Amino acid sequence: MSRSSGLAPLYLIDRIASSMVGGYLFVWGFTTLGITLGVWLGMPYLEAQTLLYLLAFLVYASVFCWGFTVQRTAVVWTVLAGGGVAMTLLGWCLGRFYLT
Amino acid sequence: MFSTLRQSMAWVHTWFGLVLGFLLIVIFFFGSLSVFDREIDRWVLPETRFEPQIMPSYEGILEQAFNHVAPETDELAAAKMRVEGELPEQLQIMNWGAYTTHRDPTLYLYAEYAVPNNPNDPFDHIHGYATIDPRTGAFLPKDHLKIGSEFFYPMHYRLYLHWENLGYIIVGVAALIMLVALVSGVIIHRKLFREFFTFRRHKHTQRRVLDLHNMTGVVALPFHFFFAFSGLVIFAYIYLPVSATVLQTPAFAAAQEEAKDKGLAFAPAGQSAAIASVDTMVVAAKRLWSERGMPGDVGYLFVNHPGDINSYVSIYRAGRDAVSLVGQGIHFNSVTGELIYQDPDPTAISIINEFLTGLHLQHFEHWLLRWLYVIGGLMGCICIATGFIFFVEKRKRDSQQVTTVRWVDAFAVTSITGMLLATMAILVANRLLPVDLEHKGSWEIRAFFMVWLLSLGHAFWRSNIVAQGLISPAWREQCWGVALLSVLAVLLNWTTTGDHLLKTLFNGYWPVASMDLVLLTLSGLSIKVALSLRQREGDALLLMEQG
Amino acid sequence: MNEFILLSLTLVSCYTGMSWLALAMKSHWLQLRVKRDFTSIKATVYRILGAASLCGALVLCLQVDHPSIAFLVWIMSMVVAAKAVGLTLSYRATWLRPLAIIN
Repeated sequence: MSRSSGLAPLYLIDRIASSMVGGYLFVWGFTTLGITLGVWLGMPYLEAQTLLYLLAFLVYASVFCWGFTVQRTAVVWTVLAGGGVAMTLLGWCLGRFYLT
Repeated sequence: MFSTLRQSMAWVHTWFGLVLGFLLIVIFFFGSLSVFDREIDRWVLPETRFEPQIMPSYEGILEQAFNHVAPETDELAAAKMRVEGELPEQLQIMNWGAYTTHRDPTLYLYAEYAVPNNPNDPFDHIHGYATIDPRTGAFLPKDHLKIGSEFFYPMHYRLYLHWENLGYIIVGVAALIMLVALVSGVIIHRKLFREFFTFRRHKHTQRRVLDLHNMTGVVALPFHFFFAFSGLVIFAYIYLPVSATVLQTPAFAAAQEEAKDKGLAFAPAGQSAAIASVDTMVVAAKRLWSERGMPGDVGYLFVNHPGDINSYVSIYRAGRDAVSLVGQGIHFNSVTGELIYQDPDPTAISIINEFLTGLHLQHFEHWLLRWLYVIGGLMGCICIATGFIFFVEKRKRDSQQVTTVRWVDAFAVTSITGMLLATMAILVANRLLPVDLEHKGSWEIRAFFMVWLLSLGHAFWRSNIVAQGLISPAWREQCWGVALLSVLAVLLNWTTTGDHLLKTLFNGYWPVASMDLVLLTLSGLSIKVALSLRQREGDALLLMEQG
Repeated sequence: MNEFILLSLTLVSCYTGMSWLALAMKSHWLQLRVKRDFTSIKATVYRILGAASLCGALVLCLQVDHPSIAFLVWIMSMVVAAKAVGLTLSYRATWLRPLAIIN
């Protein structure tokens, strides 16, 4: 199976965090941007929220597993955490300035 | 990190499964018990052993009951700390509601009271709760804990942790990891369909245990997946509170728009007005539901800002015949009794959401489906338990992993037999402690956690021989404990209430009869397992001496 | 009473359906110790029988309940039936011999 006894603790923490925390940030951004896009396209707010909540956890499971297949955690952090923050900012702007 | 997808998924499945498995088995087990939470309530509260009742008259019973509900003392004390100045003697009532299902003899009431002068939150409020006998309006003593719906059930969705939302979050993380464990499990299990029915009982321990782990995991995969997923969707607003944070502005604007569109006033006017006949509104609501082809009973009755001119009454239908929850709400002007708004037919997204949350929360009336759920939940527990056992068996004879193996085995004992012991202990405590004991509920909960802690200590004490490749006797010893306590619980039900098994079977009072039968079955199974473990312990010893 | 009979038949139908799907696999066919050969044609027939039996169970479920509930009863009945068949094959495989109707 795996050589888990040979993996350095710091590497493990980095690897786990990149998928778990990065994944959460990604999904947070996905949900935020998704809701605002949905409302912008004409959906009632609660509808959009319900839809995104239905999708969010499927997205999490997928990106989490994806993270573990990538060689370098830097890539995982960039895509997941970076992407998540970017989407959150975009969604926040959309929500604050265009929807109210 | 790993050369193949399969290798990486195997690592994720093993280590995340192991660590979160201890939490997940608790969540699964108490989830299984929660399917019959109200029936457990009947067993622990003999004074509630009467037939389920429909929502009673507002004028006759509810109004008086609501007026007697008071804010929870601990919430009141906490509120005093966060406001500027003194709190008024009588807090302004914001809303109140009553909730019942086809399985409830007693009625659950709650009220929300406005907390003024909070600089941080203009909508600050605290709660009051009560349970009444809907036939008379009599209040049930607060000290009488509903062990099923007020302990086992919260144990399931928030590990009975009160502080902030920590319990919810831990359960949420466990559920997310469970989804990951299911996906990774499918990826690593190559012979998914070929070994669908495979359980090679006579093979060596690792093969046998892994077969059972795979079978309980794969066969019940739809169940495991949809319960983890729907559980997350139910509390999504806690796990991803975007509308309360980043999207606060558009969310609040949308809520106000919606309230305006529906004609349901958001805030009180500050002008008092008497409430019209709610019973008449209930009759009107039932008629409207019948006209829409969905006759039904009231599941949830809600009054917003009672006594104010802006007040409205919302009446929701009990969803006992379909999977969706209380639905098809009808809203009336409290003062005039006029119909303001009827909830429209649900959209496609709503239907999907209601189906998912409804299949998890189970308001439907279907005894077979409930029992099938319990079996599914217990299969989940067996999947996790066999996962632990496989982990330990695989590494038992590896001298490098002695400490890990010992810890995992001890925690496994605690989370399986220990958890059963604690569950039996709270039932026994419920029967032994005096009915009028002050804070009886708190003492019962203490008994639960104390016994669980003791089982942890016992497991650790007895687990040192695992290092030698043997089976810890803690498993067998705790099995005997479970066997004894479960029989004791049944006997105590007989001696303290007189409702022994033959009587409840003859009278067809299924909540208590089923509980006693389950306890006796558990006892029988525990004895069988204990005896078989003694055999296996001997075999393992022989193997070690020979090897 | 009617409901009870229909739901009981649902469970039976799921059990036989899962059994037939199991018999379509050589390793389980051999467990039954039916002194006949295992062929791919038999496997296909058992798969069809199994699928038909499981579909029949869904039809029965729909006679009793609202479709949303019926669907859940069907899924869970199949889950429990599959588990039961797995345990039968492990503990008393020869009990399934009466279901080996094609041989």
